[in-house]
Amino acid sequence: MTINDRPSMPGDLGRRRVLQLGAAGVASLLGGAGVLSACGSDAKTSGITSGGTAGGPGTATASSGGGSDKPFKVGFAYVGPISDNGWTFTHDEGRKAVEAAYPNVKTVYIESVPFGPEATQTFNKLAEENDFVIVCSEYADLLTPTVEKFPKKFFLEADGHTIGKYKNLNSYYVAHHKVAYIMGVAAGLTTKTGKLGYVGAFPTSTVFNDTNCFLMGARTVRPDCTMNVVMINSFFDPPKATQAASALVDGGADVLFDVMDDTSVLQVAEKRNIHSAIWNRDNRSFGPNAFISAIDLNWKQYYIDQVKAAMDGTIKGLDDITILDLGNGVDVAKWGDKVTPEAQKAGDAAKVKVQGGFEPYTGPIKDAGGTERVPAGKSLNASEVFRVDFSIEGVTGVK
Amino acid sequence: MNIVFSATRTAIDSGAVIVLAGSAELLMERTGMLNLGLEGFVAIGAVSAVIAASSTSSVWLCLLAAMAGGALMGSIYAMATVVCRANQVLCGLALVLFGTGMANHLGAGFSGKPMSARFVAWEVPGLSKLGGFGKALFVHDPLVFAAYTVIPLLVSFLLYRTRHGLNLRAVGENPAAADAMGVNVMGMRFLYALIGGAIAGAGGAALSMSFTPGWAPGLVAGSGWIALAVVIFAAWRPGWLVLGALLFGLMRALSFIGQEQGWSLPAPVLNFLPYVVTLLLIAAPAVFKRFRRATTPPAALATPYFREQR
Repeated sequence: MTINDRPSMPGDLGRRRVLQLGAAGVASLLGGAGVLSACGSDAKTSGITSGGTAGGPGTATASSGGGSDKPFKVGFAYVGPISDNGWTFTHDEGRKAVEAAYPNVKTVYIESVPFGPEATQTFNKLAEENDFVIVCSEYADLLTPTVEKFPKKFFLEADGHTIGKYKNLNSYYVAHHKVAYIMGVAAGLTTKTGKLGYVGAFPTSTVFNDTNCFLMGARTVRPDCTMNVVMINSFFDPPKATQAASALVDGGADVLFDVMDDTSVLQVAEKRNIHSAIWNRDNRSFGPNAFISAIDLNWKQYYIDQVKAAMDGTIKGLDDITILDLGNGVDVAKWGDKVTPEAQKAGDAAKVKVQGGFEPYTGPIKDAGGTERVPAGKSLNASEVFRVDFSIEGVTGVK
Repeated sequence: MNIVFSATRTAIDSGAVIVLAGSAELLMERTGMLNLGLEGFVAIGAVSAVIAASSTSSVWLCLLAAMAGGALMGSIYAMATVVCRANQVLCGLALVLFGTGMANHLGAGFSGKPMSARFVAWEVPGLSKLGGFGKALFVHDPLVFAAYTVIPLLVSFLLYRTRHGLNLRAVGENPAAADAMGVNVMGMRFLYALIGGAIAGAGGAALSMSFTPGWAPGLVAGSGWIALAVVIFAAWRPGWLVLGALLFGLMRALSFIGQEQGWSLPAPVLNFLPYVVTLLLIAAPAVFKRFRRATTPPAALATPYFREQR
């Protein structure tokens, strides 16, 4: 874990230490009070109401920057290294955009925050030293103690499932399932064997939505497609991702898709002469012949807006997750050079359909066990899609 | 049948680092040095290759860098345990922490990035055309081939067919007697700490330059520890070492193939399979009586040599 505190101040460690200790003391007092008030307000905020007016009069806001001489500090916590060319890289681009947009904003970031008790300590430190904390991956119970301890600070959690519970924590994510659906259409026209493979991390809704919608897209052009999933319990473990992808190819898969932060699956596809769709961004240079397309992430505008709201003190705890929609934070990357013109055309047509309001999760949809999950004529909304916890028939390897 | 081929191929590829690191450990232990720091040696080797690849595209220069990195670790180890005669167990453990920590630090800017220099698969002419098994056995990159053929053969020849090898084993069994015979005990140990370090470093290169697409924190993931276990399983014999490494590689391959095939074992169980097998490998010789005598370690293993205490 490395900390990058950009303008380093080697000379005044002493002063900072004293300030830290003082802040810790005050924070622990506040933390105690915060827990009490959070308990008291739970009932009020946890009920799902329509509209974004939750929070009440005492909405916690990030302490605004005060005078213009004192910078507004934003701390970013990353799940991986920014050199991953993927997930963490895209968030760091967002961080840079924030710095470029507001000269009086100072950002710090911590890379590769582990999933363990150290994470909470890291978040505490970030909250202590910053006005606004953006956690660029889901840390769930590892983050909530910090959120409770610092009720005056505001937090964002990517892909977070703690929604509507705290007045100072919002969750955000992207409508990646729509991109998966569109890429799936192109994949269905690319595969020869009809077997699609997916390298997943943990059995979360991200994996369910990726695999379900990729397969749904593929089946619109080739109904006999199937999707096989291998899980490796990590978002960043190139050695394991490489082996998992190889095992899928050995099993007959000829179009891969993955949720990894890096490009190892695309590299396996290139090496084995098959095709691959990927997450995060257009990384076609890592597998120019294999690349189909990518879930292209762009957090810049969202982060700029959120930091502005936090600075102005207008940021509010929302009842629901914020899902950045297609074309507004997430998009389909340009098609790969080896994607056939007809596959590109079909993919583009699917994109137009989705932009026109089509939702891939439109019933009737049955899960792998045969239970009906979406009745005929119904569609899931963004927040229901975010909570999908089933595989459709045809997806194997993830439950 | 396809599964058998792909399992074999993956087993061979993922076992290469074990053979190399194991050969290094075997040589060092045969001279009486217990090097528990193997994990750190492999990590430093792996990251050295990655760093070299940022300024050269020659795989051989990168391999050389990996070996130099490993040898550097070997020299640190030898300085502490051979020259200063410090406790080998503690020094080894310290080098695990130092090596992995240092490698993570040095590799921070490279993690997840593909390397410019990578070993590419090489086909053995003729043999690679023999259907599925030809492909599984005879299409690998040169470092993997070397790990399974050149290195074990060289180690075996050195240990059992040369005067130098006899001296080497004498240093590991009874350094006082070797000293009396005129063998330079300290020199021999220092030399093999360097050679062992270099081979372990090459094992790291096998990880970062051939098995995976580059550096990542946690890349070594216990390969060094498993190599240590395989050396004990192999009873300090190069031939058995190759077998043990293949077995371990197979377990590693199975954990992914099992998931792909939809075996009913849950993924986490499949993932820790290699480590269970490691435990069994170590326990097996102790249980079966007839192996017991064959599996005694070099008598002077882990004891620093003081001439005065003869």
